[in-house]
Amino acid sequence: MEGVHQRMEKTSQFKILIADDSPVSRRILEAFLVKRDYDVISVADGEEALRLLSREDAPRLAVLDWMMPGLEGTRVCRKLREQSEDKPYVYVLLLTARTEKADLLKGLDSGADDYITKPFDPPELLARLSVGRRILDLQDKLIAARDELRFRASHDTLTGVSNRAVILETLRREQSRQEREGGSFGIIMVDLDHFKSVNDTYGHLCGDAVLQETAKIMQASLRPYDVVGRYGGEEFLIVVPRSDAPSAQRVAERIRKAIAAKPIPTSAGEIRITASFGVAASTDATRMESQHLLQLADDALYRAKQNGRNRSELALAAPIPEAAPLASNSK
Amino acid sequence: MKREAEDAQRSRFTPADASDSVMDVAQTLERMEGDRELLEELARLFTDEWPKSAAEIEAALKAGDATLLERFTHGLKGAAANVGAERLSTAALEMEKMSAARNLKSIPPQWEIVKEEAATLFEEFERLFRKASR
Repeated sequence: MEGVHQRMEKTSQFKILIADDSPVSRRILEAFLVKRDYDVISVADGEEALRLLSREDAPRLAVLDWMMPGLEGTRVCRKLREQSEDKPYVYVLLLTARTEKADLLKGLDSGADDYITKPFDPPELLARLSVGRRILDLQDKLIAARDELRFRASHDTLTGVSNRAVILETLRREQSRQEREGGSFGIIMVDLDHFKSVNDTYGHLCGDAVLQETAKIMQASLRPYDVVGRYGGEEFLIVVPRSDAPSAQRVAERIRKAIAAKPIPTSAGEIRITASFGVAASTDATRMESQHLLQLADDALYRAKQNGRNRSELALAAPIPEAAPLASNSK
Repeated sequence: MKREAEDAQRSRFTPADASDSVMDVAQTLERMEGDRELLEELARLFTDEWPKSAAEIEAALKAGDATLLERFTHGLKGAAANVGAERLSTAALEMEKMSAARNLKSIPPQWEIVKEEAATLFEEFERLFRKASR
């Protein structure tokens, strides 16, 4: 079992970069790291090391000789740390013949994670590299946890689409973009038809499945820069950048047909569902603030329901609604 | 001296090394986890690299460039230590210190010593690895 496991791990050898101008020292490092199943990339100078470490698929572990002609190990380190924080962290071990405390402090200050003095003791080097891998592993876990938290904070738990706060934020961003750059954008308010009766007839679990599936269908019908969010119980809001009212309505129609066409599999069997759509757009000619736009889309959605459901309605050209004086007072 | 027993055990490989500190073969081998082939390869690499290192040092000497001398002798010291050539490493270290102290007068005689040590080392390599490959 153990043997099989190790053999399988060979396919995912840990990449490590070594940079040393001395062929002897490089060969020793290579020999020991290869024996321990590292995937070794070795270079003879700092420039090449920095180039490789800056690449997308860069090794996450690096052993850099301090004293190299051209770019020294410490300078490679410094330049590496100046790069974007979004890049995966490279754990750097500095190799040095310098043993003075001041030198070591200078080395660590350059951004190195650890150092080892030459001539190095191979088992010690390997042990220190294991420490590095442990730290990289921890960091990967932390990043994964952070990403998951970020996702959870911005997405609806049930459907996985943006949550209400994020979709409203998207709407506001689109609006400020319009203020800066001009152009138009649309929004679509979506409400599932007779959703309450799905819940009443088949139970909440089936209702949840219906919400999840329709969210998926919506997302699949959108362009990459359109954003859909869960606005309320069975209500969704879609922000459609760079669109006027007719093109936003085409998007709505595409989604409407897709939802109506696909019966949703649930534990209670297939359920057919439809949705109604209210479409509004803010153009250069008729710019409006987001509350007003939402109100117009909501009115259009109401008319779609009145006119028989499973249809989309365009907002009526915009006379300021009755609520407007209140809104402008508060501004 | 504590290692005498150990050294004796390895004497098949190198009969003279216990008394000769040109190269501490036993200790170096231990660092290489007993990998004699690796040690031999390193000795070859070192030998191949020597003409280039020597030429660099000669040129820096001629130019009176103590900064370069310091760097080159530093490199030589490390490489020698890596192959277990203790005496050569120590001689190079002396030269590195002189260069660091900008003690230009004492450097040329020290360079002669370094070269002698290198020559002795290569003889030792020759002896060790010719025997070992038999």
